[in-house]
Amino acid sequence: MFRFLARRLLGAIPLILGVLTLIFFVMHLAPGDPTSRYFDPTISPEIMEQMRQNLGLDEPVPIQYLKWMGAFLTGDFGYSFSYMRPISEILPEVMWNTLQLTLMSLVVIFGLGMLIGIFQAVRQYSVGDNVLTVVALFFYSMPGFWLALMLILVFSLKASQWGWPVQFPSSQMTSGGYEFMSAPEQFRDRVMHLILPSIALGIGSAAGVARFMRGSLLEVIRQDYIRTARAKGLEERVVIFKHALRNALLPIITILGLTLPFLFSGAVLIEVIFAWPGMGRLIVDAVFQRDYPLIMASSFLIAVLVILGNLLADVLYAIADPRIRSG
Amino acid sequence: MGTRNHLAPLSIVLVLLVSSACGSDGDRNAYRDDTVTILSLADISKPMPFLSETVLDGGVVGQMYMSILGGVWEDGRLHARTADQDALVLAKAYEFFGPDSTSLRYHLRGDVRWSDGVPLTAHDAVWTLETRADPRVASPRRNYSQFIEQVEAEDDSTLVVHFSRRYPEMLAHSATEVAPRHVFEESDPANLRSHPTLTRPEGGNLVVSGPYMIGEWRRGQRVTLVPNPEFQPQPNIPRVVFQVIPEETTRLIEFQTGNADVLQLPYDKLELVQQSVPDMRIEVRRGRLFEYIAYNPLAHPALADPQVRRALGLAIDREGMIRALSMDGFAEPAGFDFSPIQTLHHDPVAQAPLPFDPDEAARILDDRGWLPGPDGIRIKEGRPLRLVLSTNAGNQRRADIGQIVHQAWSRIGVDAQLQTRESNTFFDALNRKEFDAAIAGWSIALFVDMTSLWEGESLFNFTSFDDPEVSRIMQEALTQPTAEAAAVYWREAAARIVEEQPYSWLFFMDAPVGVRNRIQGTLIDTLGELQNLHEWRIVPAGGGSESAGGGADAVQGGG
Repeated sequence: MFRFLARRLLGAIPLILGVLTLIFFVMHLAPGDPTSRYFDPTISPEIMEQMRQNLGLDEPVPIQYLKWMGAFLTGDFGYSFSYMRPISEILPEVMWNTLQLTLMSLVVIFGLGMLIGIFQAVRQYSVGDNVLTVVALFFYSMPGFWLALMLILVFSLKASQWGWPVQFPSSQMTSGGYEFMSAPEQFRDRVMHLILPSIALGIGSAAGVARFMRGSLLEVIRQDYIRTARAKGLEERVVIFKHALRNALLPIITILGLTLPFLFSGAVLIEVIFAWPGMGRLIVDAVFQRDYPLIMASSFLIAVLVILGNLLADVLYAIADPRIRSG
Repeated sequence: MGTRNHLAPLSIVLVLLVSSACGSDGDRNAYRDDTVTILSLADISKPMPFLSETVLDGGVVGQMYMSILGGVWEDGRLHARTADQDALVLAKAYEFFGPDSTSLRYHLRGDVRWSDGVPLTAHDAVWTLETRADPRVASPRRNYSQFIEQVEAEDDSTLVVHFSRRYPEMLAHSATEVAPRHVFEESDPANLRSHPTLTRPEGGNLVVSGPYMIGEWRRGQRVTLVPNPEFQPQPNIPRVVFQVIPEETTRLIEFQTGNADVLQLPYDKLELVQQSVPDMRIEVRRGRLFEYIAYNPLAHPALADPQVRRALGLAIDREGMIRALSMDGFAEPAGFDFSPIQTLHHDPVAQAPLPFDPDEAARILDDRGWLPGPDGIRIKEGRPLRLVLSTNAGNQRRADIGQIVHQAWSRIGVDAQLQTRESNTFFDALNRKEFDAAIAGWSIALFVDMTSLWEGESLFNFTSFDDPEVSRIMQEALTQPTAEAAAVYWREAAARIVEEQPYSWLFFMDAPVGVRNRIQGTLIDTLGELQNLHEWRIVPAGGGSESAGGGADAVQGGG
């Protein structure tokens, strides 16, 4: 297993370098540069040229590439052009913000999705199964940004106007005055701020996971060994959760592995709507502002995570299905 | 046993949630009574006088750094204010001297200290003006230093600025906000933007002289200003929070739910907000923005003809457009770059907006040989009058303008294909003159200098406008000693440009700003929302009502 992992990781290095090289040149070929935000008749072209010099953009693109790659290989991600701060300071802050949101939404996606899928599989063609199928399809079809706005409208604005006992915050990670709250109040405040965005981010995917789970479990519970388990007189709960679920999890593990990059790359629309300062917003802003070092660093991070996510899926496969390990 | 173990963490979470739900309302009310929350589209960027970039930067910098002179917008122009008129001003008096009055002497207050206790002197002002002019710094305001020859401190409280010539904006270009020399002077000018006090300004790290300093900065979320203990008199409001919310609907909901006090309102939601928020008023930041359509004469032979450009402008119903965009009362048709608030420069006759006259537009096009073809699109010498009308993405107003103009032009036989492009790509295309017609906008500079828009090789002369006589008149304007004398030339140049119709000027916009009535003493006008933030005050709940701030421009909320 170790040799397999090492081989996969070593094989990923040229892939990552290739991706980064491509992104570097594509971004530099795109119109505009970091000084485009000073597009103003009161700012002379000479000042913009000086800004380019200060940022090292006056050099030929291949030279810029070699300099960037040299620094990158020594672990130096450089300075963000728009924040003028070291990227090694910016990314951990923003990644932590994103992680809080995406981990919570993962709970929604996989926790809720799997529970619904299991329920539907064991109650196939019941009223509950049919209703949940329709509901799941509804949420699966709804665009996340629309759902986010509806959640804010109902659980924040209308809850406030109609005097509901609980109103959810419509934006940001904490309320104003957070620093003056007691520790339990701060905890509650953070959880309350997480609920609407994580639902908006996760519920569509949860519906998808539910469909996968249902289909996969239905396939498994028709197998002979499940019939045998039942014939042995095992409780239905044990049959489903101990024997059937483990094998039905394989497609879900694939999805989980592919979801890992999403944990760190964030979701730009939801982050914009809920004013959540996460990776999605950071990357999109960096692209619009042509903040090359920040784009490169975040691309590197995401490329690495895609590869690690696939590796993780392979490892989880092996854990879930011993045949893969021995094979 | 196992189940109990699994439930234990869940129980702790539930207990925490329930116990915190019973938190002290008194504490929350005390926080609210001491705090004004202002909603903002974007975060602050560079909180430093000559490096500030965004609108919010400008407002915040104005509250954190005292300036040599203050300003007030009266009679269509900026008037200087001294320390006896404005608590944020350093100069008690100033005088012009020297040959042709090309030098300025400022007499500064001697009792001002930086937030770290170091006295603020004329040497700080010298460093600020010299550093702003340093090309290595690449300050966006370096242009202001182009006629400044030398800056010196005669003593700790006397600043002297020598100019290469006399011109109207000598005061405005030299009387800037002052930065602390002792903090920055050892820094490499090219890397000033990454100075640690600028990248980590919170907690009093940033040394300031104005009423407020940065107490907390949660990047991408909020900036909290707290009083600078060295500034006297102390500001009325102990905490000013700028909350960053990029999405318009979310900003509106934060305002409607009472979580925020000040918000620039979208035009089409004004009525809705007024109905749902009864304890608010609308104040107006007068129009310094205008929208236009620029024509590229190199792209299509029709656009090289001023008469055709005039016809395209005549086909647009500006009043109808303003109504369609729900901007009634907050916009007025434009006929040139000078807004009606610039009374010195705006000429209501020579710069009058084009009337809406599609019949006249059609007649002009007929006269110029652009005749309707078989499909209704006008054609001349085999070339149809078909244009790409482009604008930048992310601006719904401009997208709507595009639709309206498309319909208006199609009625006179002009086919406009709408194109929305990513902002950098769009502005790059304007620079390269790779467009037919483009919808864009400018913010009016407080100090008039039209040369960058209308002179030969200028980067912003998208329309390739080139009239030697106009250039001569503009250069003449720049050499005038006073704003009044210069205005005569600017108006003359404007009249000549209007004849050529390189743009179809559309409208000037005011910005409606919603302010909750618990916030009083605001002054919102052409110079922005935050100019007297230190004088704002909060009316305590149940403390009775006062007349709204904002004077004549204030409109009470409905409901």
